[in-house]
Amino acid sequence: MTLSSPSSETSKELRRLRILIEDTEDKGVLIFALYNLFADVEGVQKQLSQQLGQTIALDILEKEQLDPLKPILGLDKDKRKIIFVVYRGDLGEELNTMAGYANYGRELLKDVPHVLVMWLSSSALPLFIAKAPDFWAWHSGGLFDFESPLDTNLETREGVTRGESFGYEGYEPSKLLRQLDNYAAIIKAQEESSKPDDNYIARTYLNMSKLAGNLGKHQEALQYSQKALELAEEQQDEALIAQALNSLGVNYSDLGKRQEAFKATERAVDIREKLAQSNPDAFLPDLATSLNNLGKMYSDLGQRSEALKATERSVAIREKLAQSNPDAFLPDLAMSLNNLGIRYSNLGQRSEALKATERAVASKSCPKQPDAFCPI
Amino acid sequence: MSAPAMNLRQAMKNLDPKESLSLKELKIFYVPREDSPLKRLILDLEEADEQKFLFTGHRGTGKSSELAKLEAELLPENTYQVIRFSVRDFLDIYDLDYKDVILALFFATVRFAEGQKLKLSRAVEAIVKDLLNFGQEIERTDEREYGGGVEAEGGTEGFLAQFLKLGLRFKAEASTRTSIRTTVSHRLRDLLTGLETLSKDIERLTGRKLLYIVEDLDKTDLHVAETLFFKHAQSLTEPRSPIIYTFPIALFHSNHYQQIKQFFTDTKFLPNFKTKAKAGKDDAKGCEALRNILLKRVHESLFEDGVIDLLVNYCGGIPRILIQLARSACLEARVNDHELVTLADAQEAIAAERRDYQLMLNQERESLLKLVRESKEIENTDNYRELLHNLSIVQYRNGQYWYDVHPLVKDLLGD
Repeated sequence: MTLSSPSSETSKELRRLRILIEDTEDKGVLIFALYNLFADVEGVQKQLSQQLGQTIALDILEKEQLDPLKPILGLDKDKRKIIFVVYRGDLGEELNTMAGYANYGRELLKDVPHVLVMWLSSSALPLFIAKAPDFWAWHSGGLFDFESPLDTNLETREGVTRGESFGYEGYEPSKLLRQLDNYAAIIKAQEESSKPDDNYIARTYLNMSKLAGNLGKHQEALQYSQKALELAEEQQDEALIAQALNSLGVNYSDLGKRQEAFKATERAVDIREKLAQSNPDAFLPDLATSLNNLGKMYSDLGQRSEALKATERSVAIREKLAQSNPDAFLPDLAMSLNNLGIRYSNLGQRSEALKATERAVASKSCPKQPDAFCPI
Repeated sequence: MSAPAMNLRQAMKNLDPKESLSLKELKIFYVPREDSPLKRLILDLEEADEQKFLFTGHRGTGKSSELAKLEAELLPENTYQVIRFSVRDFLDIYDLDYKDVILALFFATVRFAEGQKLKLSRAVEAIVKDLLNFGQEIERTDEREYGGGVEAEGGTEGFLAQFLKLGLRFKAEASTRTSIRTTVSHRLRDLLTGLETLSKDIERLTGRKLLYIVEDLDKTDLHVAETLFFKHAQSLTEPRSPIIYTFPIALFHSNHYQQIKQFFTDTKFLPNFKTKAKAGKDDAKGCEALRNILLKRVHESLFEDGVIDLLVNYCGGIPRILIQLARSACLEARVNDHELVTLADAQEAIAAERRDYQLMLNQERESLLKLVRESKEIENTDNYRELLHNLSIVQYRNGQYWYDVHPLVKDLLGD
């Protein structure tokens, strides 16, 4: 997850966090958040600090200092502070000690107006809860998730690059199924409400399509995308229509229906080209995604030159985007460059293929996020 | 606090999972509970002196608020002077033994006398001075760490204040604890006699019988609680005055409970609110009480039709979870720029609260939970106790005890 360019779900988590902090005003509040990479915590710290116009202290719990409440001790009670406390230790005795401090000292939170955000990994959290159930019982706002690739934007799913992570690999199918159930429950509630939000329902269907696709349920995924498309067309929301078509293209491709995949993706490209002309900042990234996918669809149909052209256009757009915001777009550029290598290779242009692939490798070696892009 | 809240921002403030009800807040927020053991407890207290009760219930079910209610009920009756305190005030709850609890009773009584500016008898003054010597002995044994000895001020008040300072050190300093415990272990009888003299003096001055309510003993580490209640139950029942000890629910379900309960007059169990009967039908009274808990804090107009029922249904009858779910639902509404909580906001909140249960599930736990879902019963094993402890399983009572999977977890189980 690249927090400098947050997905819609990440942005929503940030917004939830900000509102919870703002609305509780002068009262102490305990919040739990999940993280994967430390860069995620720093990203949230930076963005939340900007949004609130307030400095956020960050304390790391390590062997020397394992009391999560210590950073609050001695702070001025008249001035509210926001403190991120990050547990980065191992999962042995250290976690028990930390949880013990938390459970024992929790009453402190009643007497202070400060915001304590506890950051843990998803493996540490259940152990922490078991050891510090009373402390945990005081948390607010549910569990804030800045860890899960479940929250990545659908648009980042490329229907082309085999071997690329789609964000779900390594996730237990049971968790994905549960998430699917959660989305279904949300849609049911929306449909039963007096004023259903069709746009929201359509976006939820698109998330369901992505989940189902990653569970290998391609037919089901297709149905969700179709439902999303119907709702988007009813609302005449061009951006949402393009998003649904893009998703539909991926689903058809997964089902081996190449012509249908091509048609849907081509329609997505057409719409996004128009949208990008009037608002390039908002829609050029989406256009690059659909062009990248279109390259794959052409390739599947054996139209190799057309495949190359679409992929080249995707690369060109992403190169410009990466120049202005490398953290956000270098990974996407790397993917398109990788595809470009495959396109050249398919056309027998091996030296061009090699150049593109080398550039893809160089782009992936993004020094600012070594954890994310230099897997050991 | 403005209640009930008329806007979402205020609602977020009124829905704080940290808060248990103070005596003042009881008037605004308290909702009577049909299954509360309070009435029975008050009647039992009248039957005899020196009774000792255990008070238990699930985490978040409202034990502290109910005990505050007990204090409020007894206030106008002029029969009891209630000293309600948390062991956290004086003790390290992860490092305590039975002697500490007796000391905490003493500290709490002294704090009460100091707060009320009671003019205690000379006998009590002598006792407190004597106990201060416990402290002075410590000062001498570990001077470098603690500096000079206790400077006794003139008059009883000075000694009480000094004694309370010793209490603070007892809580904070492991070495002080060790030293005082060593002294106390040789002089426990003196301490109990001192406590009796002190309590009699307070009863003389206030004209009321003392009743102690000792909170947060249910929050100790389970092993600590087990040692305390199983091995030293007799010592806990030795003080003369009636005492209500909060008691961990997990110990209530353990094999030791049958032996523990013999030392105490009775165990009072505060059940969760029932939202459903065992057969699955909605329990109207339980749901109504939970609705009222919410509506005392937040005005009904801030919830779309059906939202309150949904939240009540998903809280599993546990008031704190209801408060948490409602706060999360208000948060979702604020995030979605809604002026009231819609069903979709509530569903999002439920999904967010469900995530933590999701993390705690594994195949083995899922299988056990599925069994409970069908049988409404549990076995007396560590695995089941753990699931009770983390509230994946909740316990209800109507006539008999029965169990069910928490509704937030039920949704995760599948078929």
